[in-house]
Amino acid sequence: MHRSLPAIVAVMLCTMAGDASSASVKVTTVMEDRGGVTARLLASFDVHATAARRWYANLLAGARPGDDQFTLFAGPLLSDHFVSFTYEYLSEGKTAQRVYHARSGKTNPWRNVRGPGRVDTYAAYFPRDIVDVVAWDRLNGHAGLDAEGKVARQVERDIRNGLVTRGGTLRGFASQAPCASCSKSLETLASKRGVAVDVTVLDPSGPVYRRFINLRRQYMASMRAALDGVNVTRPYPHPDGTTYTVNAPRCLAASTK
Amino acid sequence: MLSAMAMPALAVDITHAHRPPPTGNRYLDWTLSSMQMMHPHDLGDFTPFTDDGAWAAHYLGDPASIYSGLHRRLFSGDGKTAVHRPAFPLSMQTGRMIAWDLGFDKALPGYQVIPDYPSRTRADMQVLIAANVQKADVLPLYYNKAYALVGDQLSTLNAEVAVAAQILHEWVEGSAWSTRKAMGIDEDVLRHYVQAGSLDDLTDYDLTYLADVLRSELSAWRGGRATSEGQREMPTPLRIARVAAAYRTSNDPFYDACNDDGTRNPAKAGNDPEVASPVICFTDATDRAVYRWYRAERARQLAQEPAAFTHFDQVARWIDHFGDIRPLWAGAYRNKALDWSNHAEVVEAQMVATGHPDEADETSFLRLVERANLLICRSSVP
Repeated sequence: MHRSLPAIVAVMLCTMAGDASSASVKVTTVMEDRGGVTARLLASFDVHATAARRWYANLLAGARPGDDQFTLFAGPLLSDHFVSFTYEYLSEGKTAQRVYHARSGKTNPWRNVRGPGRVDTYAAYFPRDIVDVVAWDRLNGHAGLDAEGKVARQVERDIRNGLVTRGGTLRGFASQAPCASCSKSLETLASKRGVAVDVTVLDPSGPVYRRFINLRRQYMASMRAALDGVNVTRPYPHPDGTTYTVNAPRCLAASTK
Repeated sequence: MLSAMAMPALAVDITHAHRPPPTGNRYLDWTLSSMQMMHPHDLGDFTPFTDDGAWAAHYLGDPASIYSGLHRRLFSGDGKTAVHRPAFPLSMQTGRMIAWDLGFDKALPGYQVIPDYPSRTRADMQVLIAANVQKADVLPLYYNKAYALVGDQLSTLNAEVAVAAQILHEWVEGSAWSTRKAMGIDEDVLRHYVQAGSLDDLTDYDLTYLADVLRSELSAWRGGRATSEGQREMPTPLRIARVAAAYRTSNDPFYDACNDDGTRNPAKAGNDPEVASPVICFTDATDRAVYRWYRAERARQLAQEPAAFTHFDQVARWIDHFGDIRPLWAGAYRNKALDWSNHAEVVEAQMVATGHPDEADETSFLRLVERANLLICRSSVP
């Protein structure tokens, strides 16, 4: 018998808005996870990070990144907000799903990252045959940077283009609570298109949040090891500010693809 | 023909023939206590952590053999107590738990699996197949379905799908119906999988979801819990390898690497898990050896030319969804990095990252990550 988890901390009905009486945005905060929430967030992170890795490896063209350049590159992937939403709708009498992944921030956050290689845009490094949809920023201004806003606008676009039908349920998983403008985007979609929106967010004080952060760090550490070799001398923060001594060899870069 | 009714022939050499250790995550406890004792300033000094080779040398009777039993010291202690913290846990039970988690144990019927052997297996499987399936704790329903959907030409990917379905089953069983949607648990996917008559009955969403489940489980450390039958479960990579071994055994009517009781047939069994033939006796081999076989077999199956597949359209979908699923810790490496999934350096970093994430300060966590990367990196450089 498996343990049950004290998973759901709080459920908050954000709004009951708009002309469709069933339209709502419901936010559920979780401390712990059996694996399903993490699976969705990792799917979103993985698709973004894999494309970023390929883009960066091509930019480096075999050169090794310096500390400052790698830190500049890794920053957005370590700190951005990731979301994964599944839109469930009716298509010819059957239930269908379409998955949308997004991260907060600019579509290409690495304009200042330098390297000897010639590269295409970051977006070009996403696989063309991917089943899930990656939602992008198509607005100028702050609201265009919201992960939830990117998804809401992409769903709206897909309804308009007939790829999905209105009146479905948009179920999302987010690495942090939606900001005010993020919530507003979802509420607008809910009210205008009769979409029920449920969002599960990680409580920043819970183990599942910490686990997601750690897994992202591990990914970035593996990327650095693959591109630049392992080096235990890296200036990790020390709790009491004292200096480290170092007594280990480096391992030169393995390969990445 | 393999008999399900043969009697165990093992003389009771307890290093081979023993029951699974109990549940409980003492390996995590040991790892966390080791982490607290690392040198605070010398980043290159991982003492008191023990590298993988030292664990193998200490816990296996014959580390050079894939059929090694556990070391006798895990069953007969000398009664000593340590003044200082020893390099390995003094408790034999803790040692057997760690040996299990690192893949040093076997799947011998009547001992590690199928405790009521030689009675018939519950799913009426031949015992050499059932032993692997049971050790992986995958329901025959999910095991049989993956084979029914795609056949045997990509059986290593079938094993990954069967384990993903089993994990989803565990999520569904372990959660209240009212919370499943909010917790990202889509039981409809499991229902579609069970009811599918062909791969066409599964949508891309279904397959992508199962792949997401697999990535998530491979990224986390899930040791020490109870299986559906109350026994100690195995880490996810080893579960997959055992299911793949069951398919391999099932697909070969002339499989004679093992005796009927699961012990190896010395005249027929291979000794190198990385070669296709002669194949090893899976039930008598360590989980770690079976994992090495699975990794090599997976590479061979994926290297086949499209024309070699009977139904390439079906196979292509399988490969698209499951061919490149990897845990986050290996995200940037070549696929070869997954060969190290069950090595102590990788396992211990996983434990600290996901097993008890609040216990580790940032620096200690990153040191263990770099320790694992050091293993993979050195091994990857020609």
